[in-house]
Amino acid sequence: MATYIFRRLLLMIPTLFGILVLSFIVIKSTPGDPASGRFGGAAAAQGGMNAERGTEDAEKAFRKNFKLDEPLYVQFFWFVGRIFRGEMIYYTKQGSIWPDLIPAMKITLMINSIVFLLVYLLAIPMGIFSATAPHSTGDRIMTLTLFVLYSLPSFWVAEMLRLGVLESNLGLPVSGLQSPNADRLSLLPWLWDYTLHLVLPILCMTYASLAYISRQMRAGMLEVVRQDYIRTAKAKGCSPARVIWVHALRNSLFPIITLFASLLPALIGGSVIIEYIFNIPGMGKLTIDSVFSREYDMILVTMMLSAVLTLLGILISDIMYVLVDPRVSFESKN
Amino acid sequence: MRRSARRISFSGLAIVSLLIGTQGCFITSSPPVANQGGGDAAAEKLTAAALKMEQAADRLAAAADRLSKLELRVASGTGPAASEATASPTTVEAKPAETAASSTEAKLIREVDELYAKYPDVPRVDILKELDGIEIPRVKAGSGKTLELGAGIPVDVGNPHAANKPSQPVKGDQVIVRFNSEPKSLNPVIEQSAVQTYMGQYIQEALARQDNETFEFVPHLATKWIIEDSVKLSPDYPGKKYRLVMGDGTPRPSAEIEYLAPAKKESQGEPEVMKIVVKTVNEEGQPIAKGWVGLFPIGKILGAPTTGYHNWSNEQGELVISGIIPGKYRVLTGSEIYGKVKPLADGAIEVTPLSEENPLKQALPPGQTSLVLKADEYQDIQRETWMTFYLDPRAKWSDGTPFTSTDLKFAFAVLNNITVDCDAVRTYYSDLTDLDALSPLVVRMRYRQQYFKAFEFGAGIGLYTPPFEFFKNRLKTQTTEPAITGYELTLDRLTEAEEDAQKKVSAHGKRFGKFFNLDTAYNQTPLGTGPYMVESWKKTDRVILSRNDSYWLPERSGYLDKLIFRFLPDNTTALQSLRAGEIDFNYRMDPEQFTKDLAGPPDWFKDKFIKADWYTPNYGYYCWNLNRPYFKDQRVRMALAMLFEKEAFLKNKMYNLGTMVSGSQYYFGPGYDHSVKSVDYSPETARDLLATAGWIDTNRDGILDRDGVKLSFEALIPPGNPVIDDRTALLQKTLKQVGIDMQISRMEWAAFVERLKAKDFDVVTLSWAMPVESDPFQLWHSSGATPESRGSNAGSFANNLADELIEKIRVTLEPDKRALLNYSLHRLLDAQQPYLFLYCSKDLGAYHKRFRGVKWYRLRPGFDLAEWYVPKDEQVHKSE
Repeated sequence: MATYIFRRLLLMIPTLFGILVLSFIVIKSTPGDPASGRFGGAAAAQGGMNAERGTEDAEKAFRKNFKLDEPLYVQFFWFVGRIFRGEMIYYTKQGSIWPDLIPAMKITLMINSIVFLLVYLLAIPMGIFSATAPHSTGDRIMTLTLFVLYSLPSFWVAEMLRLGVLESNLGLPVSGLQSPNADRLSLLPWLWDYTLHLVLPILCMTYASLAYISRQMRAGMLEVVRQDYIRTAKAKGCSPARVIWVHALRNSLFPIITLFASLLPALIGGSVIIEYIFNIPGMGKLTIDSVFSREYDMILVTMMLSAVLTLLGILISDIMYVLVDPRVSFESKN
Repeated sequence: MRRSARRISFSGLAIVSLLIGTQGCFITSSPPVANQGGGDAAAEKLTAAALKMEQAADRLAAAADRLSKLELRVASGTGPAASEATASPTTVEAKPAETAASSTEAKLIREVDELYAKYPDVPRVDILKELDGIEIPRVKAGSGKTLELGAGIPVDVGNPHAANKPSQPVKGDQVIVRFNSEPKSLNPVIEQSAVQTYMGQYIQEALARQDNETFEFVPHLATKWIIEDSVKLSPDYPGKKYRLVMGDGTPRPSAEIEYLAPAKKESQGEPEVMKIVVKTVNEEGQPIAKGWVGLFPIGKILGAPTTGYHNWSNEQGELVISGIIPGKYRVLTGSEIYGKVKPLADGAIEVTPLSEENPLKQALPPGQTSLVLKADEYQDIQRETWMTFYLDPRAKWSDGTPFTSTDLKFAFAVLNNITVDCDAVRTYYSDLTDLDALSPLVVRMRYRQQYFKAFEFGAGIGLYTPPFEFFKNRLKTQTTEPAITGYELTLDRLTEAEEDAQKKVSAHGKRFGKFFNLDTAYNQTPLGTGPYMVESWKKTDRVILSRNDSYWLPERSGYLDKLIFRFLPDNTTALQSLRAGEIDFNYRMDPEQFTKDLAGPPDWFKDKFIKADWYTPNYGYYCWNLNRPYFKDQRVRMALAMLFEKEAFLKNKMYNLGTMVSGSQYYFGPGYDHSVKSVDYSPETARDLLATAGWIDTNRDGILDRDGVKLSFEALIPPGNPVIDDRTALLQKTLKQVGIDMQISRMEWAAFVERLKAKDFDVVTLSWAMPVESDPFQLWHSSGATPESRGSNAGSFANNLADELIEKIRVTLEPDKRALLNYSLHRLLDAQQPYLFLYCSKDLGAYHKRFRGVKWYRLRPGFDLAEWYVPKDEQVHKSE
């Protein structure tokens, strides 16, 4: 097992390098570069640009400084050199990306952890319930509700929720993560304030995944309950609860484990739309803003982070297969 | 880069509104292209030509028919004659309302004509009345007369609550303002985004403050200033002999050089830029430090300043001439003096030193107050380039340190430090050649050459001034650049070795530059002299400014305890946040929200909030790429201008929240010629004009063509602006009706800008935000029209008369004359139509009714939160 894991980790190096090269090429082949963010910025797009003075010379110096006119391979190795030294910078303002990236990552990680916890805590029992009584009225109602939720676009739901909150004077905050006076609050009121700000975004992010995960769980469970050994368990007089929770559950988790591979990168991947609507300074907003202003370092770092986490997620789910199902083994059978 | 209008100078000139001039017209239409060819092709062309003629005849007949109908309508006094009456002024019997309008018009016409009479050297341009015999339709609406500058701006407009309950300004409470984007830094030197500037106006201050209402400069950090002219003495002036030494080593009083363009090499790498080394020496050949060297174009050199390039040699008397526009120049040198210049007879001048600090004052014999120079004793005069500012002794930074000339000298060093990440501001200040601290409270600046914005830049340097003492202390403990921790900050120039030896760090040096760029102490919480201080900056969320209770100018202190700026990019979120009470002032709403969402207004809004709309300097446009063959023809551009339903769009889609413009200066600024009415929507006239230009649908496929080329092009539009989407769709529709095919291509911003700068587009739409009076050079001078130029003249507009006007505008200091030059340029642009000029649109917002003292100014951002207050009994946030 240890050798297997070690081999897999080693294999990740060329894979990551390949991902890096491809991402770099893709990013570089999009038209425009950070100079447009700096000398005709996105803020200027809204207010119009000023025609007063030419910034052509400044732009030239800027491009030279960041090697934007050099051949692609020079730019690539310049980038790779810096990534090993951790010198990831903003092009449009000199300075490291980490002071922005890390807080955004923390916020997204926190929100997504809550969301995933809620989703799994709700979806697994719901899936099991549907599977234990397939095609019953309860199952049908739940399936229908979940599908309706699944098909509702989150930006619309977010807007509706917000309007509902405002119309009914619930007093829930509708944007941001903190009140202006949050600094002056003591710990408990501060926590309460923060929690209130999280209610709407978390609600919006939870409902859609709920349907998906619970359907997966239902399908997994349905397949397992049709197996012979379940019939055997029932035949030998096990209680239905024991059949489900002890005999069936472990095997029915396979699809959920497969989904786990995508869970890790998803934890740090923010939801662009929800973050934008509720003005949450998470990874989604940071990433999309970086893409628009062509902050190459920030884009590549977030891409590489999800690449690493995806590969790790796949590895972990592979290991979990072994743990869940004794029939699966990575040891070679001599 | 954007500049706040508040930083923009012009000497208080009340706007002169003008109306249509009638004499003649200014036409530079291109001749029709003759068909050439042989054989079948020729036969085909002949047939096509015949067809064209036939169609043209049809059109002419149709036009005649329309004209007669029009006359009928006018005669019977019915129908929409107002917009079409221009077609035949002789037959129109003016209605009473129009008579009133035309009498105002006549008055305004007289005013412009008087100006032309007063300044006969200003090239006269008349408003284009007809093109190729086809009359140009003009809109009737909006004379602009009701919106004059200088008038007292009323307070609390549209707030009945404030009217019913009069109150006195009192301190307390706070305002939460919505901004749609966040600055990357709050350091004004390295960041000049609009949002930074808007917050910065409460933190940093200028030497002279521009009055929000009159736009005039009034003393602020400086209590007064004296402005003098620069005079360059002749090289043989007795006692002050100057010589030039060039390549061959012979000293000479003047020289001629030819500056060559860098050879274009196919191989990679930067082309070699020509460098000419010049030395300034005295008669004996000893170098003269900081000697003036002037380069004056011999003949006309496109893009080179007609008033010459002015440079000064270094401490060793050396100067490297490089990067100038290629061409032949006369190189001059001589001693420089300054004072007020008064012309005398026979080319002689009288130079009177005004400031006490002027060395000429000491040099003059006792009892003599001025120096008289004969025509051959001086070579060049640059007006108003020497500025001496006297700082207010009360002025201090928010940490209590006095604001002195050392701070300004520090600013000058930082702005000129090439390591400092301030390329955009540096470009502005590249012509401020000297800044000397004459005493702790007196600072003298020299601008490179005569320029109407020289004072604005000089006085504006206060806005980019970092506190010297603060940085001195910060260096002792900082860890951003460990190599210079504990070093003493100095304004001397030192090498790195000297820095290490003396334990000092130079503000001109690389290491300080890097530290300045990266250190968060000043970048996140900059210190200023203003009425508010940065309390905290929660990244991605808000910036909190708190009132400086020990502000040095108590009479201009703010009332609100805190100004909080929240960054909410999404308009819908911002409106909902207003409703939820999370913000107090929703700045920058879109017209749809402002009119539709707040129609009624809804109950939640009615009792709590006030709507506000106000003008800021801006205009929208479509820019035709004049390198495209079909846009080269003035007639085509003029026809296109007639194909946009400006008035209807303004009314229906912009809910009249704006005004039509016909030129590129600010509608309420001194350079806008109100006598030029926008070209009116008139597809019939456009069709005739296109037919005259040879664009006829010969193959009857619904699209006009000429010589086998279809009139079909692509409009490049930026993302995320519903008004732009709507207007472009409308233009597409109306173009389609006359047989012009316009495809719309929307690109996200970075890609959009890339294509714009590479001039890789047919037509592009955007808007400009500009100062109250802008320098038209960047936009319209032909030096920016080359394909390599990535500047603002994206459409490659090039016109000799425009160049002449622009060059004159830059060096004309007399406000009335400069206004007239701007009018001429305005009329020329209107005739040439390089842009389809659209609107100056209003800024929109909504704020809580408890705020008083609210005024909407006609410059950016249009409000001054330091004037806002909340009556005691209505205050929501009590100060602790």
